[in-house]
Amino acid sequence: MLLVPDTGLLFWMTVSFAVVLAVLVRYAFPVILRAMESRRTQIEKGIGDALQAEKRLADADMLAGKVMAEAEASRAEIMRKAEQARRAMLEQARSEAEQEAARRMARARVEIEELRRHTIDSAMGQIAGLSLQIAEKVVDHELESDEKQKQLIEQFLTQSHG
Amino acid sequence: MKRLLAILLALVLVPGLVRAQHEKLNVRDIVMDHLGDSYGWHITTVGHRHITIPLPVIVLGSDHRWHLFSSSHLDHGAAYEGFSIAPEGDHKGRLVENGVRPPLDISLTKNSTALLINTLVLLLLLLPVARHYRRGARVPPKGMPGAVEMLVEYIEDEVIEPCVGPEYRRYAPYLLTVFFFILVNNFMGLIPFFPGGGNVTGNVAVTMTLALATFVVVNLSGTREYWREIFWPDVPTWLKIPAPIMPAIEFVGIFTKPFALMIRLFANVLAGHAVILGLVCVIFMTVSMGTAVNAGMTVVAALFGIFMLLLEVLVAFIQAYVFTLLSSVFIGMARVKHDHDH
Repeated sequence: MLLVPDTGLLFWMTVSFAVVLAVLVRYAFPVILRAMESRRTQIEKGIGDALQAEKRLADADMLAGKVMAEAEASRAEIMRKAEQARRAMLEQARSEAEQEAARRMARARVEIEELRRHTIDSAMGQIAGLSLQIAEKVVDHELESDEKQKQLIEQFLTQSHG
Repeated sequence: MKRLLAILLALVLVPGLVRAQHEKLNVRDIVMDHLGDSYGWHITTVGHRHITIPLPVIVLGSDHRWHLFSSSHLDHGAAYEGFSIAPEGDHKGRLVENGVRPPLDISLTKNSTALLINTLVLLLLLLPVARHYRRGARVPPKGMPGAVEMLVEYIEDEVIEPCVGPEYRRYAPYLLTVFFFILVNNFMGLIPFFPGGGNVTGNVAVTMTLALATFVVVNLSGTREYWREIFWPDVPTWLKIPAPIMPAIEFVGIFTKPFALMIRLFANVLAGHAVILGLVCVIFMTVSMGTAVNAGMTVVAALFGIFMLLLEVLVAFIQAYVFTLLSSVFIGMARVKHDHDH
Protein backbone atom coordinates (compact mmCIF):
# COMPACT_ATOMS: atom_id res chain seq x y z
CA MET A 1 0.00 0.00 0.00
CA LEU A 2 2.83 2.35 0.86
CA LEU A 3 4.46 1.74 -2.51
CA VAL A 4 1.40 2.81 -4.48
CA PRO A 5 1.53 6.53 -5.08
CA ASP A 6 -1.63 8.33 -4.10
CA THR A 7 -3.01 10.41 -6.97
CA GLY A 8 -4.15 13.19 -4.67
CA LEU A 9 -0.79 13.57 -3.02
CA LEU A 10 0.89 13.28 -6.39
CA PHE A 11 -1.26 16.15 -7.64
CA TRP A 12 -0.63 18.39 -4.63
CA MET A 13 3.05 17.51 -4.63
CA THR A 14 3.34 18.45 -8.30
CA VAL A 15 1.50 21.70 -7.69
CA SER A 16 3.39 22.68 -4.55
CA PHE A 17 6.78 21.70 -5.94
CA ALA A 18 6.07 23.58 -9.16
CA VAL A 19 5.04 26.65 -7.15
CA VAL A 20 8.08 26.40 -4.86
CA LEU A 21 10.39 25.89 -7.82
CA ALA A 22 8.88 28.78 -9.74
CA VAL A 23 8.98 31.17 -6.76
CA LEU A 24 12.42 30.22 -5.55
CA VAL A 25 14.00 30.05 -9.00
CA ARG A 26 12.42 33.39 -9.93
CA TYR A 27 12.64 35.39 -6.70
CA ALA A 28 14.96 33.79 -4.17
CA PHE A 29 17.96 31.86 -5.41
CA PRO A 30 19.13 34.17 -8.22
CA VAL A 31 19.19 37.08 -5.75
CA ILE A 32 20.89 35.04 -3.03
CA LEU A 33 23.42 33.47 -5.40
CA ARG A 34 24.15 36.81 -7.07
CA ALA A 35 24.69 38.45 -3.67
CA MET A 36 26.92 35.60 -2.56
CA GLU A 37 28.83 35.73 -5.83
CA SER A 38 29.25 39.47 -5.45
CA ARG A 39 30.48 39.01 -1.87
CA ARG A 40 32.80 36.23 -2.98
CA THR A 41 34.21 38.47 -5.71
CA GLN A 42 34.58 41.24 -3.16
CA ILE A 43 36.36 38.89 -0.76
CA GLU A 44 38.61 37.59 -3.54
CA LYS A 45 39.35 41.17 -4.56
CA GLY A 46 40.07 42.02 -0.93
CA ILE A 47 42.37 39.03 -0.65
CA GLY A 48 44.03 40.04 -3.94
CA ASP A 49 44.46 43.59 -2.71
CA ALA A 50 45.81 42.33 0.58
CA LEU A 51 48.27 40.07 -1.24
CA GLN A 52 49.34 42.96 -3.44
CA ALA A 53 49.74 45.17 -0.39
CA GLU A 54 51.76 42.41 1.25
CA LYS A 55 53.93 42.19 -1.86
CA ARG A 56 54.34 45.94 -1.91
CA LEU A 57 55.23 45.85 1.76
CA ALA A 58 57.76 43.11 1.07
CA ASP A 59 59.17 45.17 -1.81
CA ALA A 60 59.31 48.23 0.42
CA ASP A 61 61.00 46.16 3.11
CA MET A 62 63.49 44.91 0.54
CA LEU A 63 64.06 48.44 -0.70
CA ALA A 64 64.44 49.68 2.85
CA GLY A 65 66.93 46.88 3.48
CA LYS A 66 68.81 47.85 0.35
CA VAL A 67 68.79 51.53 1.33
CA MET A 68 69.88 50.59 4.82
CA ALA A 69 72.68 48.45 3.43
CA GLU A 70 73.74 51.29 1.16
CA ALA A 71 73.55 53.70 4.09
CA GLU A 72 75.55 51.28 6.18
CA ALA A 73 78.15 50.97 3.44
CA SER A 74 78.20 54.72 3.05
CA ARG A 75 78.53 55.17 6.80
CA ALA A 76 81.39 52.68 6.87
CA GLU A 77 83.08 54.51 3.97
CA ILE A 78 82.63 57.85 5.70
CA MET A 79 83.96 56.37 8.93
CA ARG A 80 86.90 54.89 7.07
CA LYS A 81 87.66 58.18 5.38
CA ALA A 82 87.25 60.05 8.66
CA GLU A 83 89.60 57.60 10.30
CA GLN A 84 92.08 58.11 7.49
CA ALA A 85 91.72 61.87 7.80
CA ARG A 86 92.11 61.64 11.56
CA ARG A 87 95.23 59.58 11.18
CA ALA A 88 96.61 61.91 8.52
CA MET A 89 95.89 64.94 10.67
CA LEU A 90 97.38 63.20 13.68
CA GLU A 91 100.42 62.26 11.65
CA GLN A 92 100.78 65.76 10.30
CA ALA A 93 100.33 67.26 13.76
CA ARG A 94 102.85 64.84 15.17
CA SER A 95 105.27 65.61 12.35
CA GLU A 96 104.82 69.34 12.79
CA ALA A 97 105.22 68.98 16.54
CA GLU A 98 108.37 66.96 16.06
CA GLN A 99 109.70 69.50 13.58
CA GLU A 100 108.85 72.32 15.95
CA ALA A 101 110.41 70.44 18.82
CA ALA A 102 113.52 69.78 16.76
CA ARG A 103 113.65 73.42 15.75
CA ARG A 104 113.26 74.56 19.31
CA MET A 105 115.81 72.03 20.50
CA ALA A 106 118.26 73.30 17.94
CA ARG A 107 117.62 76.89 18.91
CA ALA A 108 117.95 75.95 22.57
CA ARG A 109 121.20 74.20 21.81
CA VAL A 110 122.44 77.28 20.02
CA GLU A 111 121.37 79.47 22.89
CA ILE A 112 122.93 77.10 25.44
CA GLU A 113 126.09 77.08 23.39
CA GLU A 114 126.09 80.83 23.19
CA LEU A 115 125.36 81.04 26.88
CA ARG A 116 128.13 78.57 27.68
CA ARG A 117 130.50 80.46 25.45
CA HIS A 118 129.42 83.65 27.02
CA THR A 119 129.84 82.14 30.48
CA ILE A 120 133.23 80.80 29.59
CA ASP A 121 134.22 84.13 28.13
CA SER A 122 132.91 85.85 31.21
CA ALA A 123 134.73 83.38 33.46
CA MET A 124 137.87 83.84 31.39
CA GLY A 125 137.55 87.54 31.78
CA GLN A 126 137.01 87.23 35.48
CA ILE A 127 139.91 84.81 35.75
CA ALA A 128 142.03 87.23 33.80
CA GLY A 129 140.92 90.02 36.08
CA LEU A 130 141.62 87.95 39.13
CA SER A 131 144.95 87.03 37.70
CA LEU A 132 145.67 90.63 37.19
CA GLN A 133 144.54 91.44 40.72
CA ILE A 134 146.70 88.64 42.10
CA ALA A 135 149.51 89.90 40.06
CA GLU A 136 148.96 93.35 41.32
CA LYS A 137 148.87 92.10 44.90
CA VAL A 138 152.00 90.19 44.28
CA VAL A 139 153.66 93.13 42.70
CA ASP A 140 152.43 95.44 45.52
CA HIS A 141 154.21 93.38 48.13
CA GLU A 142 157.75 92.55 48.22
CA LEU A 143 158.60 89.22 47.19
CA GLU A 144 160.46 88.48 50.33
CA SER A 145 160.11 84.83 50.58
CA ASP A 146 158.37 81.92 49.14
CA GLU A 147 156.56 81.48 52.39
CA LYS A 148 155.21 84.90 52.23
CA GLN A 149 154.14 84.57 48.60
CA LYS A 150 152.21 81.47 49.47
CA GLN A 151 150.57 83.17 52.36
CA LEU A 152 149.67 86.05 50.16
CA ILE A 153 148.06 83.83 47.53
CA GLU A 154 146.00 81.96 50.17
CA GLN A 155 144.87 85.21 51.64
CA PHE A 156 143.87 86.41 48.24
CA LEU A 157 141.95 83.28 47.53
CA THR A 158 140.23 83.46 50.91
CA GLN A 159 139.20 87.01 50.18
CA SER A 160 138.04 86.05 46.74
CA HIS A 161 135.85 83.27 48.16
CA GLY A 162 134.58 85.50 50.93
CA MET B 1 17.03 20.52 24.78
CA LYS B 2 16.38 17.59 27.14
CA ARG B 3 13.14 19.19 28.31
CA LEU B 4 12.05 19.78 24.76
CA LEU B 5 12.71 16.16 23.85
CA ALA B 6 10.85 14.97 26.95
CA ILE B 7 7.85 17.13 26.05
CA LEU B 8 7.89 15.92 22.46
CA LEU B 9 8.08 12.30 23.56
CA ALA B 10 5.34 12.77 26.12
CA LEU B 11 3.08 14.29 23.48
CA VAL B 12 3.59 11.19 21.38
CA LEU B 13 3.40 8.64 24.18
CA VAL B 14 0.71 9.84 26.55
CA PRO B 15 -2.32 9.61 24.22
CA GLY B 16 -1.26 6.16 23.15
CA LEU B 17 -0.70 5.01 26.73
CA VAL B 18 -4.12 6.23 27.74
CA ARG B 19 -5.68 4.46 24.79
CA ALA B 20 -3.63 1.32 25.35
CA GLN B 21 -5.00 0.93 28.86
CA HIS B 22 -8.53 0.77 27.54
CA GLU B 23 -8.34 -1.16 24.31
CA LYS B 24 -6.41 -4.02 22.83
CA LEU B 25 -3.36 -2.73 21.01
CA ASN B 26 -2.93 -3.35 17.31
CA VAL B 27 0.66 -2.31 16.61
CA ARG B 28 0.38 -2.76 12.87
CA ASP B 29 -2.63 -0.46 12.70
CA ILE B 30 -0.93 2.20 14.82
CA VAL B 31 2.23 2.15 12.72
CA MET B 32 0.34 2.08 9.42
CA ASP B 33 -2.02 4.82 10.61
CA HIS B 34 0.93 7.07 11.36
CA LEU B 35 2.85 6.19 8.21
CA GLY B 36 -0.17 6.26 5.95
CA ASP B 37 -2.45 9.10 5.04
CA SER B 38 -5.86 10.17 6.35
CA TYR B 39 -8.67 12.52 5.41
CA GLY B 40 -8.54 14.31 8.79
CA TRP B 41 -5.59 15.46 10.85
CA HIS B 42 -5.71 13.65 14.16
CA ILE B 43 -4.17 15.88 16.83
CA THR B 44 -4.63 13.84 20.02
CA THR B 45 -7.08 11.72 21.98
CA VAL B 46 -8.51 12.77 25.31
CA GLY B 47 -10.30 9.83 26.88
CA HIS B 48 -12.43 8.45 24.06
CA ARG B 49 -12.63 11.77 22.29
CA HIS B 50 -10.48 12.15 19.17
CA ILE B 51 -9.48 15.71 18.45
CA THR B 52 -9.17 15.88 14.67
CA ILE B 53 -8.88 18.76 12.23
CA PRO B 54 -11.26 18.07 9.32
CA LEU B 55 -9.77 18.59 5.88
CA PRO B 56 -11.45 19.30 2.53
CA VAL B 57 -12.36 16.34 0.38
CA ILE B 58 -12.08 17.13 -3.33
CA VAL B 59 -13.14 14.30 -5.53
CA LEU B 60 -14.33 13.66 -9.06
CA GLY B 61 -17.24 11.31 -8.77
CA SER B 62 -18.41 8.64 -11.17
CA ASP B 63 -21.02 11.17 -12.31
CA HIS B 64 -18.10 13.25 -13.67
CA ARG B 65 -18.87 16.05 -11.26
CA TRP B 66 -16.51 17.50 -8.71
CA HIS B 67 -17.51 17.08 -5.08
CA LEU B 68 -16.11 19.29 -2.35
CA PHE B 69 -17.00 18.76 1.30
CA SER B 70 -15.43 18.50 4.74
CA SER B 71 -13.96 15.20 5.84
CA SER B 72 -15.91 15.54 9.10
CA HIS B 73 -18.94 14.26 7.13
CA LEU B 74 -17.14 10.95 6.80
CA ASP B 75 -16.37 10.49 10.53
CA HIS B 76 -17.29 7.18 12.17
CA GLY B 77 -17.77 5.41 8.84
CA ALA B 78 -20.52 7.75 7.66
CA ALA B 79 -21.21 8.22 3.95
CA TYR B 80 -21.68 11.59 2.30
CA GLU B 81 -22.86 12.22 -1.26
CA GLY B 82 -22.22 8.53 -1.88
CA PHE B 83 -18.63 8.70 -0.65
CA SER B 84 -17.23 6.98 2.41
CA ILE B 85 -13.90 5.80 3.76
CA ALA B 86 -13.27 2.10 3.16
CA PRO B 87 -12.98 0.35 6.54
CA GLU B 88 -11.11 -2.64 5.07
CA GLY B 89 -10.00 -4.30 1.87
CA ASP B 90 -7.57 -3.06 -0.77
CA HIS B 91 -8.72 0.53 -0.38
CA LYS B 92 -8.72 0.55 3.43
CA GLY B 93 -8.60 4.10 4.74
CA ARG B 94 -9.21 5.59 1.29
CA LEU B 95 -12.23 7.29 -0.14
CA VAL B 96 -14.57 5.05 -2.07
CA GLU B 97 -17.74 5.68 -3.94
CA ASN B 98 -20.09 2.76 -3.50
CA GLY B 99 -17.11 0.49 -2.75
CA VAL B 100 -14.90 1.54 -5.68
CA ARG B 101 -12.26 4.23 -5.91
CA PRO B 102 -13.50 7.38 -7.60
CA PRO B 103 -11.85 8.39 -10.91
CA LEU B 104 -9.89 11.20 -9.36
CA ASP B 105 -9.35 11.99 -5.71
CA ILE B 106 -7.31 15.13 -5.01
CA SER B 107 -8.51 15.63 -1.45
CA LEU B 108 -6.36 17.63 0.90
CA THR B 109 -5.36 14.73 3.09
CA LYS B 110 -3.12 14.95 6.13
CA ASN B 111 0.02 14.50 4.05
CA SER B 112 -1.15 16.90 1.35
CA THR B 113 -1.94 19.53 3.97
CA ALA B 114 1.40 18.92 5.68
CA LEU B 115 3.04 19.30 2.29
CA LEU B 116 1.35 22.66 1.71
CA ILE B 117 2.26 23.85 5.22
CA ASN B 118 5.85 22.73 4.67
CA THR B 119 5.88 24.56 1.35
CA LEU B 120 4.77 27.71 3.12
CA VAL B 121 7.45 27.21 5.79
CA LEU B 122 10.05 26.75 3.07
CA LEU B 123 9.03 29.96 1.33
CA LEU B 124 8.99 31.84 4.65
CA LEU B 125 12.46 30.53 5.30
CA LEU B 126 14.05 31.42 1.97
CA LEU B 127 12.27 34.55 0.81
CA PRO B 128 13.51 36.69 3.76
CA VAL B 129 17.08 35.88 2.76
CA ALA B 130 16.38 37.07 -0.78
CA ARG B 131 14.58 40.15 0.59
CA HIS B 132 17.59 40.89 2.77
CA TYR B 133 19.81 41.10 -0.31
CA ARG B 134 17.21 42.77 -2.50
CA ARG B 135 17.31 45.66 -0.03
CA GLY B 136 20.93 46.13 -1.01
CA ALA B 137 22.48 44.65 2.12
CA ARG B 138 26.11 43.71 1.64
CA VAL B 139 26.66 41.88 4.91
CA PRO B 140 25.26 38.36 5.45
CA PRO B 141 21.96 38.12 7.36
CA LYS B 142 21.92 36.95 10.97
CA GLY B 143 19.83 34.27 12.70
CA MET B 144 17.84 31.76 10.66
CA PRO B 145 18.35 33.54 7.30
CA GLY B 146 22.08 33.47 8.04
CA ALA B 147 21.94 29.72 8.67
CA VAL B 148 19.97 29.26 5.43
CA GLU B 149 22.56 31.24 3.51
CA MET B 150 25.33 29.16 5.04
CA LEU B 151 23.58 26.01 3.77
CA VAL B 152 23.09 27.57 0.33
CA GLU B 153 26.78 28.38 0.16
CA TYR B 154 27.79 24.94 1.37
CA ILE B 155 25.59 23.07 -1.10
CA GLU B 156 26.61 25.30 -3.98
CA ASP B 157 30.34 25.14 -3.27
CA GLU B 158 30.70 21.56 -2.06
CA VAL B 159 28.04 19.70 -4.03
CA ILE B 160 26.71 21.51 -7.07
CA GLU B 161 29.84 23.13 -8.44
CA PRO B 162 32.14 20.07 -8.21
CA CYS B 163 29.49 17.61 -9.44
CA VAL B 164 27.79 19.55 -12.23
CA GLY B 165 30.88 21.22 -13.60
CA PRO B 166 31.43 24.57 -15.31
CA GLU B 167 27.73 25.15 -16.05
CA TYR B 168 26.69 24.67 -12.42
CA ARG B 169 25.17 28.14 -12.10
CA ARG B 170 22.40 27.20 -14.51
CA TYR B 171 21.32 24.24 -12.34
CA ALA B 172 22.03 25.67 -8.88
CA PRO B 173 18.53 27.15 -8.32
CA TYR B 174 16.82 23.85 -9.16
CA LEU B 175 19.19 21.75 -7.05
CA LEU B 176 19.00 24.15 -4.11
CA THR B 177 15.21 24.08 -4.31
CA VAL B 178 15.27 20.28 -4.20
CA PHE B 179 17.66 20.31 -1.24
CA PHE B 180 15.65 22.75 0.84
CA PHE B 181 12.35 21.16 -0.14
CA ILE B 182 13.49 17.76 1.13
CA LEU B 183 15.23 19.21 4.18
CA VAL B 184 12.22 21.21 5.35
CA ASN B 185 9.83 18.31 4.75
CA ASN B 186 12.16 15.90 6.57
CA PHE B 187 12.50 18.18 9.58
CA MET B 188 8.80 18.97 9.71
CA GLY B 189 8.10 15.25 9.65
CA LEU B 190 10.13 14.84 12.83
CA ILE B 191 7.95 17.24 14.80
CA PRO B 192 5.42 14.93 16.47
CA PHE B 193 2.56 17.41 16.68
CA PHE B 194 0.61 19.77 14.43
CA PRO B 195 1.70 21.34 12.07
CA GLY B 196 4.48 18.77 11.90
CA GLY B 197 4.25 15.00 11.92
CA GLY B 198 3.15 14.51 8.33
CA ASN B 199 4.96 11.66 6.65
CA VAL B 200 5.66 13.66 3.49
CA THR B 201 9.09 12.53 2.30
CA GLY B 202 8.32 9.03 3.56
CA ASN B 203 5.64 8.91 0.91
CA VAL B 204 6.42 7.47 -2.49
CA ALA B 205 4.24 10.01 -4.32
CA VAL B 206 6.41 12.85 -3.05
CA THR B 207 9.75 11.19 -3.75
CA MET B 208 8.48 10.08 -7.15
CA THR B 209 7.66 13.67 -8.11
CA LEU B 210 11.09 14.82 -7.00
CA ALA B 211 12.79 11.96 -8.87
CA LEU B 212 10.71 12.70 -11.98
CA ALA B 213 11.76 16.35 -11.81
CA THR B 214 15.41 15.31 -11.68
CA PHE B 215 14.79 12.80 -14.50
CA VAL B 216 13.37 15.56 -16.68
CA VAL B 217 16.19 18.01 -15.85
CA VAL B 218 18.89 15.38 -16.44
CA ASN B 219 17.54 14.20 -19.78
CA LEU B 220 16.74 17.67 -21.05
CA SER B 221 20.31 18.68 -20.21
CA GLY B 222 21.84 15.67 -21.96
CA THR B 223 24.52 16.51 -24.47
CA ARG B 224 25.11 14.70 -27.74
CA GLU B 225 27.88 12.69 -26.05
CA TYR B 226 25.51 11.68 -23.25
CA TRP B 227 23.00 10.24 -25.69
CA ARG B 228 25.75 8.66 -27.77
CA GLU B 229 27.06 6.94 -24.61
CA ILE B 230 23.59 5.50 -24.08
CA PHE B 231 22.74 4.33 -27.60
CA TRP B 232 26.25 3.71 -28.94
CA PRO B 233 28.52 3.27 -25.90
CA ASP B 234 32.28 3.00 -26.18
CA VAL B 235 32.46 -0.79 -25.74
CA PRO B 236 33.46 -3.70 -28.05
CA THR B 237 31.16 -3.89 -31.05
CA TRP B 238 29.87 -7.37 -30.23
CA LEU B 239 28.23 -5.86 -27.15
CA LYS B 240 26.23 -3.56 -29.42
CA ILE B 241 25.62 -5.63 -32.52
CA PRO B 242 23.70 -7.83 -33.24
CA ALA B 243 22.13 -7.79 -29.76
CA PRO B 244 22.25 -4.27 -28.27
CA ILE B 245 23.19 -5.49 -24.80
CA MET B 246 25.04 -2.42 -23.61
CA PRO B 247 22.64 0.12 -25.16
CA ALA B 248 19.80 -1.71 -23.45
CA ILE B 249 21.62 -1.60 -20.11
CA GLU B 250 22.43 2.06 -20.59
CA PHE B 251 18.86 2.80 -21.59
CA VAL B 252 17.51 1.09 -18.49
CA GLY B 253 20.05 3.13 -16.52
CA ILE B 254 18.20 6.30 -17.53
CA PHE B 255 15.26 5.12 -15.45
CA THR B 256 17.07 3.30 -12.64
CA LYS B 257 18.87 6.45 -11.57
CA PRO B 258 15.75 8.44 -10.67
CA PHE B 259 14.14 5.26 -9.40
CA ALA B 260 17.05 4.81 -6.98
CA LEU B 261 16.63 8.43 -5.90
CA MET B 262 12.96 7.87 -5.28
CA ILE B 263 13.32 4.66 -3.30
CA ARG B 264 16.35 5.80 -1.27
CA LEU B 265 14.67 8.89 0.13
CA PHE B 266 11.32 7.20 0.62
CA ALA B 267 12.77 4.12 2.32
CA ASN B 268 15.16 5.98 4.62
CA VAL B 269 12.57 8.41 5.92
CA LEU B 270 9.88 5.75 6.19
CA ALA B 271 12.23 3.39 8.02
CA GLY B 272 13.18 6.11 10.50
CA HIS B 273 9.54 6.86 11.26
CA ALA B 274 8.72 3.15 11.48
CA VAL B 275 11.52 2.47 13.97
CA ILE B 276 10.45 5.34 16.22
CA LEU B 277 6.83 4.22 16.06
CA GLY B 278 7.90 0.64 16.77
CA LEU B 279 9.80 1.76 19.85
CA VAL B 280 6.79 3.74 21.04
CA CYS B 281 4.61 0.67 20.53
CA VAL B 282 6.92 -1.38 22.75
CA ILE B 283 5.62 0.70 25.65
CA PHE B 284 2.00 -0.13 24.80
CA MET B 285 2.76 -3.78 24.16
CA THR B 286 4.29 -4.27 27.60
CA VAL B 287 1.35 -2.71 29.47
CA SER B 288 -0.19 -6.15 29.90
CA MET B 289 3.10 -7.61 31.22
CA GLY B 290 2.92 -5.86 34.55
CA THR B 291 3.99 -2.48 35.89
CA ALA B 292 7.66 -3.39 36.47
CA VAL B 293 8.24 -4.73 32.95
CA ASN B 294 6.26 -1.90 31.44
CA ALA B 295 8.20 0.75 33.41
CA GLY B 296 11.53 -0.80 32.47
CA MET B 297 10.59 -1.09 28.81
CA THR B 298 9.21 2.43 28.85
CA VAL B 299 12.59 3.77 29.95
CA VAL B 300 14.42 1.67 27.35
CA ALA B 301 11.99 2.60 24.58
CA ALA B 302 12.07 6.27 25.55
CA LEU B 303 15.87 6.35 25.52
CA PHE B 304 16.01 4.53 22.20
CA GLY B 305 13.26 6.77 20.90
CA ILE B 306 15.27 9.89 21.76
CA PHE B 307 18.35 8.34 20.19
CA MET B 308 16.39 7.50 17.03
CA LEU B 309 14.90 10.96 16.92
CA LEU B 310 18.38 12.49 17.03
CA LEU B 311 19.50 10.01 14.40
CA GLU B 312 16.52 11.03 12.29
CA VAL B 313 17.63 14.66 12.51
CA LEU B 314 20.93 13.56 11.03
CA VAL B 315 19.21 11.36 8.44
CA ALA B 316 16.94 14.28 7.49
CA PHE B 317 19.97 16.31 6.52
CA ILE B 318 21.90 13.42 4.98
CA GLN B 319 18.99 12.36 2.76
CA ALA B 320 18.47 15.90 1.47
CA TYR B 321 22.21 16.10 0.88
CA VAL B 322 22.39 12.72 -0.88
CA PHE B 323 19.42 13.44 -3.13
CA THR B 324 20.95 16.78 -4.16
CA LEU B 325 24.40 15.24 -4.56
CA LEU B 326 23.16 12.40 -6.78
CA SER B 327 20.98 14.76 -8.81
CA SER B 328 24.04 16.97 -9.32
CA VAL B 329 26.13 13.95 -10.33
CA PHE B 330 23.48 12.81 -12.83
CA ILE B 331 23.25 16.30 -14.32
CA GLY B 332 27.04 16.46 -14.45
CA MET B 333 27.12 13.10 -16.27
CA ALA B 334 24.51 14.34 -18.73
CA ARG B 335 26.53 17.48 -19.45
CA VAL B 336 29.68 15.49 -20.26
CA LYS B 337 31.67 16.65 -23.28
CA HIS B 338 34.40 14.38 -24.55
CA ASP B 339 37.55 15.81 -25.96
CA HIS B 340 38.05 13.74 -29.13
CA ASP B 341 41.60 15.02 -29.54
CA HIS B 342 42.72 12.78 -26.71
